[in-house]
Amino acid sequence: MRPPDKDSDFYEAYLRETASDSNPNDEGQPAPINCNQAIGTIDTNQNAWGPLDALPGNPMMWILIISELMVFGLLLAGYCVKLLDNPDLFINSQAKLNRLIGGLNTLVLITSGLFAALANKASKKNKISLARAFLSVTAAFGLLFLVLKFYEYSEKSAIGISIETNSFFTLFYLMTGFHAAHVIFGLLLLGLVSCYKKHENIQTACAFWHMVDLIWLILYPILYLVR
Amino acid sequence: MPHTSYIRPTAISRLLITWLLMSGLTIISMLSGDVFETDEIAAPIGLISVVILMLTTLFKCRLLLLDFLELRHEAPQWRRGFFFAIFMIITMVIATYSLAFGI
Repeated sequence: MRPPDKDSDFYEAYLRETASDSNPNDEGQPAPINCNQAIGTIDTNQNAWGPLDALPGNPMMWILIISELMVFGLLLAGYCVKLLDNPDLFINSQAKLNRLIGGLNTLVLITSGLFAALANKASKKNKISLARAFLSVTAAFGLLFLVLKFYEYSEKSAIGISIETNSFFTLFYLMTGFHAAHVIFGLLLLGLVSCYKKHENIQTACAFWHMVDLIWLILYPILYLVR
Repeated sequence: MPHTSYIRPTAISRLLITWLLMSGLTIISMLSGDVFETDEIAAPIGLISVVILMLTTLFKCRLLLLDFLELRHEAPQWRRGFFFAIFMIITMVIATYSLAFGI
Protein backbone atom coordinates (compact mmCIF):
# COMPACT_ATOMS: atom_id res chain seq x y z
CA MET A 1 0.00 0.00 0.00
CA ARG A 2 1.29 3.47 -0.84
CA PRO A 3 2.02 5.61 2.30
CA PRO A 4 -0.11 8.75 2.68
CA ASP A 5 1.37 12.18 1.96
CA LYS A 6 3.50 13.65 4.79
CA ASP A 7 1.20 16.69 5.08
CA SER A 8 -2.01 14.65 5.25
CA ASP A 9 -3.95 13.97 8.47
CA PHE A 10 -3.40 10.24 8.05
CA TYR A 11 0.40 10.39 8.09
CA GLU A 12 0.75 10.25 11.90
CA ALA A 13 -1.66 7.30 12.08
CA TYR A 14 0.32 5.61 9.33
CA LEU A 15 3.59 6.09 11.27
CA ARG A 16 2.02 4.62 14.47
CA GLU A 17 0.70 1.67 12.51
CA THR A 18 4.02 0.93 10.79
CA ALA A 19 5.87 1.29 14.13
CA SER A 20 3.57 -1.27 15.81
CA ASP A 21 3.99 -3.58 12.79
CA SER A 22 7.75 -3.61 13.22
CA ASN A 23 7.61 -4.47 16.99
CA PRO A 24 8.08 -8.13 17.93
CA ASN A 25 4.76 -9.98 18.27
CA ASP A 26 3.41 -11.72 21.40
CA GLU A 27 5.37 -14.92 20.75
CA GLY A 28 8.63 -12.96 20.64
CA GLN A 29 8.94 -13.50 16.89
CA PRO A 30 10.03 -10.49 14.85
CA ALA A 31 7.39 -9.16 12.51
CA PRO A 32 8.02 -9.62 8.79
CA ILE A 33 9.87 -6.71 7.22
CA ASN A 34 7.61 -4.34 5.37
CA CYS A 35 9.58 -3.35 2.28
CA ASN A 36 7.57 -0.15 1.67
CA GLN A 37 8.17 1.02 5.22
CA ALA A 38 11.93 0.47 5.02
CA ILE A 39 12.20 2.36 1.78
CA GLY A 40 9.99 5.14 3.12
CA THR A 41 12.07 5.53 6.28
CA ILE A 42 15.31 5.76 4.35
CA ASP A 43 13.76 8.31 2.00
CA THR A 44 12.55 10.49 4.89
CA ASN A 45 15.95 10.53 6.59
CA GLN A 46 17.99 11.27 3.51
CA ASN A 47 15.71 13.92 2.03
CA ALA A 48 14.23 15.65 5.08
CA TRP A 49 13.85 19.08 3.38
CA GLY A 50 12.96 17.86 -0.07
CA PRO A 51 14.16 20.16 -2.88
CA LEU A 52 15.45 22.72 -0.32
CA ASP A 53 18.29 20.28 0.49
CA ALA A 54 19.79 21.11 -2.90
CA LEU A 55 20.37 24.79 -1.94
CA PRO A 56 23.56 26.03 -0.23
CA GLY A 57 23.32 26.67 3.54
CA ASN A 58 20.54 25.87 6.00
CA PRO A 59 17.15 25.14 4.35
CA MET A 60 15.35 27.19 7.03
CA MET A 61 17.17 30.28 5.76
CA TRP A 62 15.94 29.57 2.25
CA ILE A 63 12.35 29.39 3.53
CA LEU A 64 12.96 32.85 5.04
CA ILE A 65 14.55 34.12 1.80
CA ILE A 66 11.61 32.90 -0.32
CA SER A 67 9.04 34.38 2.09
CA GLU A 68 10.90 37.72 2.22
CA LEU A 69 10.95 37.86 -1.57
CA MET A 70 7.19 37.28 -1.54
CA VAL A 71 6.61 39.99 1.10
CA PHE A 72 8.59 42.57 -0.87
CA GLY A 73 6.84 41.44 -4.06
CA LEU A 74 3.48 42.13 -2.42
CA LEU A 75 4.66 45.51 -1.09
CA LEU A 76 5.76 46.44 -4.61
CA ALA A 77 2.37 45.28 -5.94
CA GLY A 78 0.75 47.69 -3.44
CA TYR A 79 3.13 50.43 -4.65
CA CYS A 80 2.06 49.80 -8.26
CA VAL A 81 -1.64 49.96 -7.35
CA LYS A 82 -1.18 53.29 -5.54
CA LEU A 83 0.96 54.62 -8.41
CA LEU A 84 -1.88 53.89 -10.84
CA ASP A 85 -4.23 55.70 -8.46
CA ASN A 86 -2.27 58.95 -8.46
CA PRO A 87 0.75 59.01 -10.82
CA ASP A 88 1.40 62.77 -10.45
CA LEU A 89 1.65 62.57 -6.66
CA PHE A 90 4.14 59.70 -6.94
CA ILE A 91 6.30 61.39 -9.57
CA ASN A 92 6.42 64.71 -7.63
CA SER A 93 7.15 62.96 -4.32
CA GLN A 94 9.86 60.80 -5.87
CA ALA A 95 11.61 63.96 -7.12
CA LYS A 96 12.20 64.91 -3.46
CA LEU A 97 14.28 61.76 -2.84
CA ASN A 98 18.07 61.86 -2.82
CA ARG A 99 18.86 59.65 -5.83
CA LEU A 100 22.61 59.92 -5.27
CA ILE A 101 22.43 58.41 -1.77
CA GLY A 102 20.18 55.62 -3.05
CA GLY A 103 22.73 54.85 -5.78
CA LEU A 104 25.68 55.00 -3.40
CA ASN A 105 23.84 52.61 -1.10
CA THR A 106 23.40 50.21 -4.04
CA LEU A 107 27.15 50.30 -4.71
CA VAL A 108 27.84 49.78 -1.00
CA LEU A 109 25.60 46.70 -0.82
CA ILE A 110 27.00 45.21 -4.05
CA THR A 111 30.51 45.58 -2.63
CA SER A 112 29.46 44.06 0.70
CA GLY A 113 27.93 41.16 -1.28
CA LEU A 114 31.30 40.60 -2.98
CA PHE A 115 33.04 40.32 0.41
CA ALA A 116 30.30 38.00 1.72
CA ALA A 117 30.85 35.73 -1.30
CA LEU A 118 34.62 35.85 -0.70
CA ALA A 119 34.06 34.92 2.97
CA ASN A 120 31.98 31.96 1.85
CA LYS A 121 34.73 30.80 -0.54
CA ALA A 122 37.41 31.22 2.16
CA SER A 123 35.43 29.21 4.72
CA LYS A 124 34.86 26.47 2.13
CA LYS A 125 38.66 26.16 1.87
CA ASN A 126 38.83 26.15 5.68
CA LYS A 127 40.66 29.52 5.81
CA ILE A 128 38.70 30.63 8.84
CA SER A 129 40.69 33.76 9.77
CA LEU A 130 40.47 35.02 6.19
CA ALA A 131 36.73 34.28 6.17
CA ARG A 132 36.33 36.28 9.40
CA ALA A 133 38.26 39.20 7.89
CA PHE A 134 35.96 39.18 4.84
CA LEU A 135 32.90 38.97 7.10
CA SER A 136 34.15 42.03 9.03
CA VAL A 137 34.51 44.00 5.78
CA THR A 138 30.99 42.88 4.78
CA ALA A 139 29.65 44.11 8.11
CA ALA A 140 31.54 47.41 7.76
CA PHE A 141 29.83 48.04 4.41
CA GLY A 142 26.50 47.06 5.99
CA LEU A 143 27.07 49.70 8.69
CA LEU A 144 27.96 52.26 6.02
CA PHE A 145 24.65 51.46 4.31
CA LEU A 146 22.79 52.16 7.58
CA VAL A 147 24.69 55.43 8.14
CA LEU A 148 23.76 56.64 4.64
CA LYS A 149 20.14 55.53 5.18
CA PHE A 150 20.02 57.41 8.49
CA TYR A 151 21.44 60.52 6.79
CA GLU A 152 18.77 60.24 4.07
CA TYR A 153 15.95 59.87 6.62
CA SER A 154 17.21 62.82 8.68
CA GLU A 155 17.52 64.94 5.50
CA LYS A 156 13.87 64.17 4.69
CA SER A 157 12.81 64.81 8.27
CA ALA A 158 14.50 68.24 8.20
CA ILE A 159 12.27 69.38 5.33
CA GLY A 160 9.15 68.04 7.05
CA ILE A 161 8.74 64.77 5.14
CA SER A 162 7.62 61.79 7.21
CA ILE A 163 5.81 58.46 6.83
CA GLU A 164 2.47 60.31 7.05
CA THR A 165 3.19 62.90 4.33
CA ASN A 166 1.43 60.97 1.55
CA SER A 167 0.94 57.42 0.25
CA PHE A 168 4.24 57.51 -1.69
CA PHE A 169 6.24 58.30 1.44
CA THR A 170 4.24 55.78 3.51
CA LEU A 171 5.26 53.03 1.08
CA PHE A 172 8.79 54.43 0.71
CA TYR A 173 9.43 54.40 4.47
CA LEU A 174 7.69 51.04 4.88
CA MET A 175 9.79 49.30 2.23
CA THR A 176 13.16 50.98 2.91
CA GLY A 177 12.63 50.78 6.70
CA PHE A 178 11.72 47.08 6.52
CA HIS A 179 14.77 46.53 4.32
CA ALA A 180 17.00 48.44 6.79
CA ALA A 181 15.65 46.18 9.58
CA HIS A 182 16.83 43.21 7.50
CA VAL A 183 20.27 44.81 7.16
CA ILE A 184 20.44 45.10 10.97
CA PHE A 185 19.38 41.45 11.33
CA GLY A 186 21.97 40.49 8.70
CA LEU A 187 24.68 42.31 10.68
CA LEU A 188 23.70 40.34 13.80
CA LEU A 189 23.89 37.10 11.80
CA LEU A 190 27.33 38.03 10.43
CA GLY A 191 28.49 38.68 14.01
CA LEU A 192 27.09 35.33 15.15
CA VAL A 193 28.74 33.28 12.41
CA SER A 194 32.06 35.02 13.11
CA CYS A 195 31.90 33.24 16.49
CA TYR A 196 30.23 29.99 15.38
CA LYS A 197 32.39 29.71 12.29
CA LYS A 198 31.33 26.37 10.77
CA HIS A 199 31.20 26.55 6.97
CA GLU A 200 27.45 25.86 6.89
CA ASN A 201 26.80 28.75 9.30
CA ILE A 202 28.86 31.19 7.23
CA GLN A 203 27.16 29.97 4.05
CA THR A 204 23.72 30.49 5.65
CA ALA A 205 24.47 34.03 6.88
CA CYS A 206 25.95 34.95 3.49
CA ALA A 207 22.82 33.62 1.73
CA PHE A 208 20.70 35.93 3.92
CA TRP A 209 23.03 38.86 3.19
CA HIS A 210 22.76 38.28 -0.55
CA MET A 211 18.97 38.21 -0.23
CA VAL A 212 19.11 41.65 1.44
CA ASP A 213 21.35 42.79 -1.42
CA LEU A 214 18.97 41.32 -4.03
CA ILE A 215 15.95 43.12 -2.59
CA TRP A 216 17.76 46.48 -2.60
CA LEU A 217 18.79 45.91 -6.24
CA ILE A 218 15.05 45.69 -7.06
CA LEU A 219 13.91 48.51 -4.73
CA TYR A 220 16.43 51.16 -5.82
CA PRO A 221 15.39 51.63 -9.48
CA ILE A 222 11.67 51.31 -8.70
CA LEU A 223 11.58 53.77 -5.79
CA TYR A 224 14.25 56.26 -6.93
CA LEU A 225 14.67 56.13 -10.71
CA VAL A 226 11.47 55.01 -12.49
CA ARG A 227 9.48 58.16 -13.24
CA MET B 1 47.63 19.40 -26.34
CA PRO B 2 47.47 22.61 -24.26
CA HIS B 3 45.52 22.54 -21.02
CA THR B 4 42.35 24.64 -21.36
CA SER B 5 41.65 25.36 -17.69
CA TYR B 6 43.83 28.52 -17.73
CA ILE B 7 41.28 30.36 -19.88
CA ARG B 8 38.39 29.57 -17.53
CA PRO B 9 37.86 32.25 -14.89
CA THR B 10 38.62 31.03 -11.39
CA ALA B 11 35.94 31.35 -8.72
CA ILE B 12 37.53 34.51 -7.31
CA SER B 13 37.98 36.22 -10.68
CA ARG B 14 34.38 35.32 -11.58
CA LEU B 15 33.22 37.07 -8.39
CA LEU B 16 35.32 40.12 -9.25
CA ILE B 17 33.95 40.25 -12.81
CA THR B 18 30.40 39.97 -11.43
CA TRP B 19 31.07 42.80 -8.96
CA LEU B 20 32.57 45.00 -11.71
CA LEU B 21 29.61 44.34 -14.02
CA MET B 22 27.04 45.02 -11.31
CA SER B 23 28.79 48.19 -10.12
CA GLY B 24 29.26 49.45 -13.69
CA LEU B 25 25.60 48.89 -14.54
CA THR B 26 24.56 50.64 -11.30
CA ILE B 27 26.73 53.67 -12.12
CA ILE B 28 25.22 53.83 -15.64
CA SER B 29 21.70 53.61 -14.12
CA MET B 30 22.60 56.39 -11.67
CA LEU B 31 23.90 58.65 -14.44
CA SER B 32 20.85 58.03 -16.62
CA GLY B 33 18.65 58.80 -13.60
CA ASP B 34 20.28 62.28 -13.19
CA VAL B 35 21.48 61.52 -9.67
CA PHE B 36 23.86 64.49 -9.64
CA GLU B 37 21.08 67.00 -10.40
CA THR B 38 20.33 69.13 -7.35
CA ASP B 39 17.00 70.37 -8.75
CA GLU B 40 13.89 68.26 -8.26
CA ILE B 41 13.37 66.52 -11.60
CA ALA B 42 9.87 65.09 -12.08
CA ALA B 43 9.75 64.73 -15.86
CA PRO B 44 8.91 61.15 -16.93
CA ILE B 45 11.88 59.33 -18.45
CA GLY B 46 9.73 57.42 -20.97
CA LEU B 47 8.76 53.79 -21.38
CA ILE B 48 11.86 52.76 -23.35
CA SER B 49 14.18 54.09 -20.64
CA VAL B 50 12.11 52.33 -17.97
CA VAL B 51 12.29 49.04 -19.90
CA ILE B 52 16.10 49.38 -20.28
CA LEU B 53 16.46 50.27 -16.60
CA MET B 54 14.37 47.31 -15.47
CA LEU B 55 16.13 44.86 -17.83
CA THR B 56 19.44 46.07 -16.40
CA THR B 57 18.06 45.36 -12.93
CA LEU B 58 16.98 41.88 -14.04
CA PHE B 59 20.48 41.20 -15.37
CA LYS B 60 22.10 42.40 -12.13
CA CYS B 61 19.77 40.17 -10.10
CA ARG B 62 20.64 37.23 -12.34
CA LEU B 63 24.36 37.81 -11.76
CA LEU B 64 23.79 37.98 -8.02
CA LEU B 65 21.73 34.77 -7.99
CA LEU B 66 24.22 32.80 -10.10
CA ASP B 67 27.55 33.98 -8.70
CA PHE B 68 27.05 35.50 -5.24
CA LEU B 69 24.24 33.16 -4.12
CA GLU B 70 25.95 30.26 -5.95
CA LEU B 71 22.85 28.98 -7.71
CA ARG B 72 24.84 28.42 -10.93
CA HIS B 73 25.64 24.85 -9.91
CA GLU B 74 22.34 24.07 -8.16
CA ALA B 75 19.17 22.51 -9.58
CA PRO B 76 17.95 24.57 -12.59
CA GLN B 77 14.41 24.66 -11.15
CA TRP B 78 15.59 26.94 -8.33
CA ARG B 79 17.40 29.28 -10.72
CA ARG B 80 14.35 29.48 -12.96
CA GLY B 81 12.01 29.94 -9.98
CA PHE B 82 13.92 32.90 -8.51
CA PHE B 83 14.51 34.43 -11.91
CA PHE B 84 10.80 34.07 -12.77
CA ALA B 85 9.77 35.76 -9.49
CA ILE B 86 12.02 38.77 -10.23
CA PHE B 87 10.87 38.80 -13.86
CA MET B 88 7.23 38.99 -12.65
CA ILE B 89 8.01 41.97 -10.39
CA ILE B 90 9.77 43.78 -13.23
CA THR B 91 6.97 43.03 -15.70
CA MET B 92 4.47 44.37 -13.14
CA VAL B 93 6.44 47.62 -12.80
CA ILE B 94 6.73 48.11 -16.58
CA ALA B 95 3.01 47.37 -17.08
CA THR B 96 2.11 49.83 -14.30
CA TYR B 97 4.32 52.53 -15.82
CA SER B 98 2.79 52.10 -19.29
CA LEU B 99 -0.73 52.25 -17.82
CA ALA B 100 0.03 55.29 -15.67
CA PHE B 101 2.03 57.40 -18.13
CA GLY B 102 1.13 55.90 -21.50
CA ILE B 103 3.53 54.42 -24.06
